[in-house]
Amino acid sequence: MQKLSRSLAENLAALDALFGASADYYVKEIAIYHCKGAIVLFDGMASLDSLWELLLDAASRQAPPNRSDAQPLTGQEAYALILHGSAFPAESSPVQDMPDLVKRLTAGMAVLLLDGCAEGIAFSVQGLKYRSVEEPSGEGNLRGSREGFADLLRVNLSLLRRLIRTPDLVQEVQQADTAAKTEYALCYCKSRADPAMVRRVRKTLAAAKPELLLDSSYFVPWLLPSWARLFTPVSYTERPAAAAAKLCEGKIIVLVNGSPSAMVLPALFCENFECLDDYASTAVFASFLRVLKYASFYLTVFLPGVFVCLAVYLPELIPPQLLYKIAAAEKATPLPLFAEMLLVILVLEVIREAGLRMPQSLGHSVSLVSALILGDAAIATGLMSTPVIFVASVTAIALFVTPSLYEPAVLLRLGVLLAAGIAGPVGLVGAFFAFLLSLSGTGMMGVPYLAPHPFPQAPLAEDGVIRRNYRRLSRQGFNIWQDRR
Amino acid sequence: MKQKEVFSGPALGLSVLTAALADAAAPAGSVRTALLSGLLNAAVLSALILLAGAFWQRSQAFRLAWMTALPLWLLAELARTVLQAHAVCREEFRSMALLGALPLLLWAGGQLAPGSWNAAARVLWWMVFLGIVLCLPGLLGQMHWARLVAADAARPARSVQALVYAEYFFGPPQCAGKTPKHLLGLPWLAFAVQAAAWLGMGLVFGAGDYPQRELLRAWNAGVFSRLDALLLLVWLACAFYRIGFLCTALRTCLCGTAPAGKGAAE
Repeated sequence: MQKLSRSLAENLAALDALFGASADYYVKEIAIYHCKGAIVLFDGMASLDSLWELLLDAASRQAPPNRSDAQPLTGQEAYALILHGSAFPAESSPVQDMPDLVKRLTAGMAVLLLDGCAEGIAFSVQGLKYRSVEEPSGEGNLRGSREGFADLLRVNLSLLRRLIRTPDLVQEVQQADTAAKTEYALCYCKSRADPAMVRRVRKTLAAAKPELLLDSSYFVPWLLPSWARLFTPVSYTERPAAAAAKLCEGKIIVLVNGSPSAMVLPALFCENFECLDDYASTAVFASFLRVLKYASFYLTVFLPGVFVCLAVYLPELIPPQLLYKIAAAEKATPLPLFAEMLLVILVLEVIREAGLRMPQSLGHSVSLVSALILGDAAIATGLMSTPVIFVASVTAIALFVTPSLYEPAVLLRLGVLLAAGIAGPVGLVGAFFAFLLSLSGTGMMGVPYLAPHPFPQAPLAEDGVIRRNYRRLSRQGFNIWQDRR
Repeated sequence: MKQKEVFSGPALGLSVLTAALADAAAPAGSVRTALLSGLLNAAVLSALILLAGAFWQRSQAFRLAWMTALPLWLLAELARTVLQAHAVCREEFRSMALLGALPLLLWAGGQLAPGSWNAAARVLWWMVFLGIVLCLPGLLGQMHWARLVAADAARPARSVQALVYAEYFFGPPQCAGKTPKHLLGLPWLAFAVQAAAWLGMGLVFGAGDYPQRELLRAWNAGVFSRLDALLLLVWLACAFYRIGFLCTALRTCLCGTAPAGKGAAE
């Protein structure tokens, strides 16, 4: 590790070798208390105005302390005076080596290097431009806080600290072992989180070597090393209020610099059907919404498969009136029902992806073209039947009720459809069973993804498919690490 | 928090229910006699489970014999369930797909921990519950006491065969010699299934000698005239469960402890 030299020229030469070619690298030689020194910072990351107000202006106004021999201060004396003998708001820990100096500079600090002193003084004068704290577009809420995480880690940490104003909240910041040395934070409440699990997560994240770290989700392959899984027992939020609520449940939050998405671990399956609004409305209404959400999720996964299975293999289960209509519609189309459904579902996914990736102005055109031209034309030309389009549309809309389960739901829907279309009712049962096992086999840090309450307790639990009055819920706080037998 | 995972009562119960649903047949004799002898069978089996638990704790030879016999019994049950499920797939759905799914099921049974089967059992129990709720209104209108009484009078009094499954005796190996109370309820659960099937057949068909599946075909409710396939699918899901469950139970039995497979408490 390269230590700082006592010679200012040597230090500046070393820095020049590292950053000299960079346009944002700024170095200004100054004299402070008649001692030679230099201010080093990155333009746009540190604020020169703040530095001027905090240090340079104040120092120039003050007369340098007199020495008995009327000599100017040495670098070491000026360093001691600024760090310990003045009211300048310098960082308490000095900069002693080159990696630390680079770390401080890239964090937006300004560093004062003095000739004759092998240590630098850092000043927190960050003037970074960043996206302001706005309402997250991906998580809609009717009540509660409108704030969302920003991209800057320090801002996000301050948002959490503002909500949990107790010494219980711990926010550990580390630099990841990546090419870009990105910072991440591990946040938890020390009296609520399981210390062993916190240690385990800390160790795993420290050992992780992602090539790049642009979001907290990049850590998932290190936290859950299995090669394939349908459900991931972690959740994400962009709301500080939601993150604070999870911290109070004993969960661990991972934030990464440059991303507004906080990873919450571990997560439960039922949490995909809950939101902050649930607790702001009455228990009856919240329970009703939850039942609807569960129904929507199962509808989106199983409806196309069940429809194909019933219409093709078990028509006797469909009431005659409905069966006649389906049969009449199918007679007019050239493709078999299974192929038709598969095609519509794949086209819907293509449309969805196109709408998501296109610029917003074009996204509307994509929706219009798909809804009016594709949908209408497909039926008018007799390529697709109305029941198939109806089922696929219901399925697509139902999926938006639980956006956090989008990925598994799409894969499962296709899987169920293929199984039911190819192997009939037995395939449908097989697909359901695979779905059930993938759910029940998922777990993280000893916490199963599905609540392990025996039948018939779970859906009628305190805060399950239906929930009780919030006053009653508050009597017995929930902690993820509690004995969940 | 870390603890040895064992099969829960509902998990064992679901397995017994699945087997009992497949095995319950219309009694050859009077329903009343069948019910009485079934009650006696269940009581005797419960006492046997208790006795076996007591012997397990006292006799090393008994333990050894048990640990040799139980895996074989589980294996036999596994083969029987596979055959029963395959028969339903072939006869009712004209499908051989179970043969394709079987390796995956056995693999899942070898991978998953008892905790995963406990969680899966809870979901399947709800499905069974919904199946019963759907089944009852469709049959209620067709049940008549007179048919049962007439059938009872016409048939001779005969005792029935008890339903005995390996799950009854699975307590001591997985709970360090103790017999959990819920195991004592398993023979009663099997008896309840048997009794429901006897009563249903008697009340709907009287003395008529029909296969048990005709009871499902008799179901009718408004515009929906058939539900038998749906209820058979629920049973098939339970049969899939039992196949995987028995695989894990077999592994648990052979390894001596609950496997630390996928989904186990890490």
